[in-house]
Amino acid sequence: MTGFTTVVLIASLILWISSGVLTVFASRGESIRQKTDTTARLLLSLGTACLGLYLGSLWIAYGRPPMRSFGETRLWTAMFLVAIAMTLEFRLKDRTLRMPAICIGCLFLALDAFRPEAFDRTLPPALQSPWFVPHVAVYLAGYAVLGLAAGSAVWTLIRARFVRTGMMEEDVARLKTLIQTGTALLTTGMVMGALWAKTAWGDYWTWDPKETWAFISWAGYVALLHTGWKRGRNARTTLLLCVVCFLGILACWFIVNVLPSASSSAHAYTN
Amino acid sequence: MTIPNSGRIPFLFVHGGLLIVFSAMIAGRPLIERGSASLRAGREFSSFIVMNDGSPFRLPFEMRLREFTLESWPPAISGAVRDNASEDNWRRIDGTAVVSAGKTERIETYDITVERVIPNALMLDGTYVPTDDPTAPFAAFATVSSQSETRIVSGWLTTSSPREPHRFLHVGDNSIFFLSEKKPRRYESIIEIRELGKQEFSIVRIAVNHPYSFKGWALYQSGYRRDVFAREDISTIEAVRDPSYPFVFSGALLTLAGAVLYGFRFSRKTNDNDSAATDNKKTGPEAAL
Repeated sequence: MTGFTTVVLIASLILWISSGVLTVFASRGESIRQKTDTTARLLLSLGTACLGLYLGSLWIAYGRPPMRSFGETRLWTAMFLVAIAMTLEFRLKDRTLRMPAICIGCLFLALDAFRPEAFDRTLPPALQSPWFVPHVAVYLAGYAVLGLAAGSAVWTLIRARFVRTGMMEEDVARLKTLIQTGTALLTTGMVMGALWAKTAWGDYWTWDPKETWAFISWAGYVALLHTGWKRGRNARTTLLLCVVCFLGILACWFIVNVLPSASSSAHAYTN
Repeated sequence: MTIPNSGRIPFLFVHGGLLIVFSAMIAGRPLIERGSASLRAGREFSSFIVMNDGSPFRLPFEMRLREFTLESWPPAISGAVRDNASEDNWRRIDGTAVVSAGKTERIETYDITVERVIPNALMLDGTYVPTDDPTAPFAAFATVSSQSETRIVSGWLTTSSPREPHRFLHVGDNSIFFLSEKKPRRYESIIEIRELGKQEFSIVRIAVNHPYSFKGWALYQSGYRRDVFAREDISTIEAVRDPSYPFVFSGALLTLAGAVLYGFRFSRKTNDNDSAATDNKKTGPEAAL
């Protein structure tokens, strides 16, 4: 990382934190303070643009898509989290997801800004494919959406437990929309990955640890979608299942790569 | 389950597509034939491959390797510093920036400036010179300086090769600098391929992510290995015949189309008639229980 790009990354972090502070400030009291909230949205958009600029500069500097290491995927996920939360806020007129997105996004940016990873500039032959960017981008967007769903579920459960507000209709409906969107993205990413694997190695699926966990997490969300919203289903169970399913995603994203069996994985290049 | 009209097409695409994919994969599995051939450049045409169970198999065509090309990423400068807290008393610091002439990399408190690089190097009269041998090491001439720009040591660093080990630069007894191993950047085979009994052949390129299909078989560049004694590379070509591929591919495209349509649909505000939450205006946990 050069000095300039580090400044851009830290600028986006500061803009997001400022947006979070203003969002909290705008929500205090009975009604939302519109001017403050608009400023918060503007700062959030500027921060996201800065992060996009930072990722673009990494792409140019390394001569490869910055989607290979943990640190790089964290940056994309942070950007998708905030961008998706803003899109849903615009479409659904619902600002509930903004704060979870800002909090998780700031955590990811801070990890990259203050504990910079040594980015490897090389790209193995298997990753030099037109499938690389869409496959990884769609998966990370899926992780971001399902991360928002899990965060939203935890928040609803905490509120129901401690504030005793009950679960609102819009909480559960929003969660369903997020799970449906996230599962559609996971399905797209998985199918793209299978087609890519066939082109690269002649086999769609090799059941290496990463693929096995990708299948487990996808199957979990598919099962949840097909059973979780039946009439009469306990809403709290559905919310808990959302969180459990996201643990599968975390296992697929982080934990699998530190297992001894991951060294022989076809996905070992993800550090 | 009631499917809203707006979601009928994506629903059918995704579920129908996945059904086709899984059915074709399961039904097609026993029909897949897979084997590999190890090819050396300049040998005669051959139509035999070794199947995964070890048995020989004759393809309906023959091929020979005209040329194998391997390009590597330049290695990175890495270091190791003495650290009594570590298990083996050394802490390794992996470099990431690929080596190039004129660049300086900082490792701990040292600046390592690379003055010259030779991708395939041969030791001759105490110095390194370029060679055509693909198994030769990568060599870089570097100078290690302290942060106060005091030159400490200069010399050659090399990757290991079949004939000689790594060459390091030592800074006192507490620091060592070396080159990490070369990583493949691109490898590909130029193959001459022809039908059995014919003299005319086609010249095709097979690389990772660029398979070639011929007579119902797909040929993949699955790997390579180095013959140290012959100083040449052996290309491994995998041949796969998969009759279920068109069905799986069609099902996958259908699923993709459905998932994209679902994405568009869900990004809009929807009326979820089948949501559990819509049963009540407020569904507290106790109410759900």
